[in-house]
Amino acid sequence: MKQLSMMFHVVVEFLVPFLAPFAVLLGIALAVLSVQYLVRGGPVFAARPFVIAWGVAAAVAALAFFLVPMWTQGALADLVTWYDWLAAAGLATAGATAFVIAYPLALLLLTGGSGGSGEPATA
Amino acid sequence: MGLPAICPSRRRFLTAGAASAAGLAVPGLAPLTTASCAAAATVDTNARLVIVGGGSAGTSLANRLTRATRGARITIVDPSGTHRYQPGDTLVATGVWEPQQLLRPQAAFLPDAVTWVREAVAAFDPETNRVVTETGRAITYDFLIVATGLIFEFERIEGMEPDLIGREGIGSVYGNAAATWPVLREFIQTGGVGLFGRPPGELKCAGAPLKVTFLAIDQAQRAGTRDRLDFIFNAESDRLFSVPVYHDFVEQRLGELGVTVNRSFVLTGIDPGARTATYRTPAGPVTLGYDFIHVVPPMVAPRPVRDSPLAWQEGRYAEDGWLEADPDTLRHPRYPNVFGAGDVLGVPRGKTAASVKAQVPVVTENLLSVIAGGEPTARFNGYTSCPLITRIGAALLVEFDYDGNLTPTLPFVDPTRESWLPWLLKTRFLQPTYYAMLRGHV
Repeated sequence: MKQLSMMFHVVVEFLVPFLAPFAVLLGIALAVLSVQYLVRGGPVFAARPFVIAWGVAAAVAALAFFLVPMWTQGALADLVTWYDWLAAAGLATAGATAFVIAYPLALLLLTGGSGGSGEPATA
Repeated sequence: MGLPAICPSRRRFLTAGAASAAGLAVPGLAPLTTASCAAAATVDTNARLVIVGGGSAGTSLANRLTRATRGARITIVDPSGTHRYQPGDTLVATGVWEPQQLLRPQAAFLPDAVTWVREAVAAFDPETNRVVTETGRAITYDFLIVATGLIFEFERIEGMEPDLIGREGIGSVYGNAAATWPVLREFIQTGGVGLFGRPPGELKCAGAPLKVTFLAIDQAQRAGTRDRLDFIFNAESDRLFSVPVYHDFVEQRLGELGVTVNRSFVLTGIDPGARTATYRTPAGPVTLGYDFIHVVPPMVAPRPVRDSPLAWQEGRYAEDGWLEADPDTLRHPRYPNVFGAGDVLGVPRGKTAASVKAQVPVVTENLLSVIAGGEPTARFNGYTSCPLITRIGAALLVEFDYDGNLTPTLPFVDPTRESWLPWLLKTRFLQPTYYAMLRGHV
């Protein structure tokens, strides 16, 4: 338990610098939802295909966000051991996860959960 | 006053193993000492605990002791309002990080329950259990923890003074990392001779002079000016690293990088105007010209410690006034209500943040044991760690103990092989780990 507590605190310290970018992501998701609201002319709506599309696009974007700069700077050549690759993949996955959950989180904030079923909240 | 319970060792082993298996561990997190989790229990006491020094050791101890005691009156004495993440100095001095990445308000790390005396200590009087601040204020204690850190003595190098750093081609990761990068960058851009090296004696993060050398070469290669630069590393002895496997590595790598290595060269003087440095060598004084010099100052205990009975009175640590302490329990052998932690300790290893991480639980547990009327049982094994950066994007995860045994935290990482993961740890994970340590969580 003590070790897990240590890990928790390190992760919290690690994540703090990333809260601001995550807030930006959340803002983008909220903006997307707002546009959706205006276009639909009704309450906030969570179409399942849109959520899935967001997730796929966000994951790809996050992976690119992490790996493309490494590639262009030649830093991918620094990954020389299997644990280097594992760590890089882990970070890219973590980044992609943050992107992916931004939209559902924004949805949750706006709808209180009522719009998460894939159906219009007031249908 | 209650004695803390001892945690079952099997549970400790399993939780540590689970954390490592999950790939969550970072250097300094594994159970590297024999300190049990006894410190997690709360001890009732009205003792006056005084911590002198608000660096990594003092701040971490203030947090741990606040949580581990109930009723204790804890005072920390330190004048600084800013906490600097010193392990990042090598990255700042070589232009990898910006200086402001290292700075945070000290108040953010100190618990409210601790009394913070924002003064420097001028004297220790262990006979009367008092410390006296620079304004003459006397603070009485029942138990004292000395965590003052160390000071740099640039003045021992003739012609050298701290104000020269950042001018006349002089840099120093120790004295002023932020001012070092501009002069190092100028050297890289204009070309010439660069002198690097280290002095004899105890050194804060003894790998730092090597890291600065490697990173300076890498920055030159990235700038395309390596061919215009001569790098010379002047070692104070015939060894480049205390642990043989890393000595061999460093020697080979410096050779591959075209660095001239001089042995038994001790910097004794510098002439900033002429840009020359004089070394004591077995063949007599040698003067070398330079366009850039990385000055590593001799390091000693702060004057109040040196002048006090708390310092070693004889032996290899006496001359520079290091705090006398049992190397295992970190308790003062002549003043049993005094403990030490961090750079000020006169022990064979341990002037790194990683050592502080390993020392703080030992001091906490032993202090609580003594408060409860027992004897110190936790042991510090001399653990120290140095992510030895060899270039931007690569490092070796160097970890060892008092005896020079390799003590890798991550069992799957080859400690003798350069790779990206140690670089990632150094540049991304160790700083948050450090802050969690300051808060007493790690």
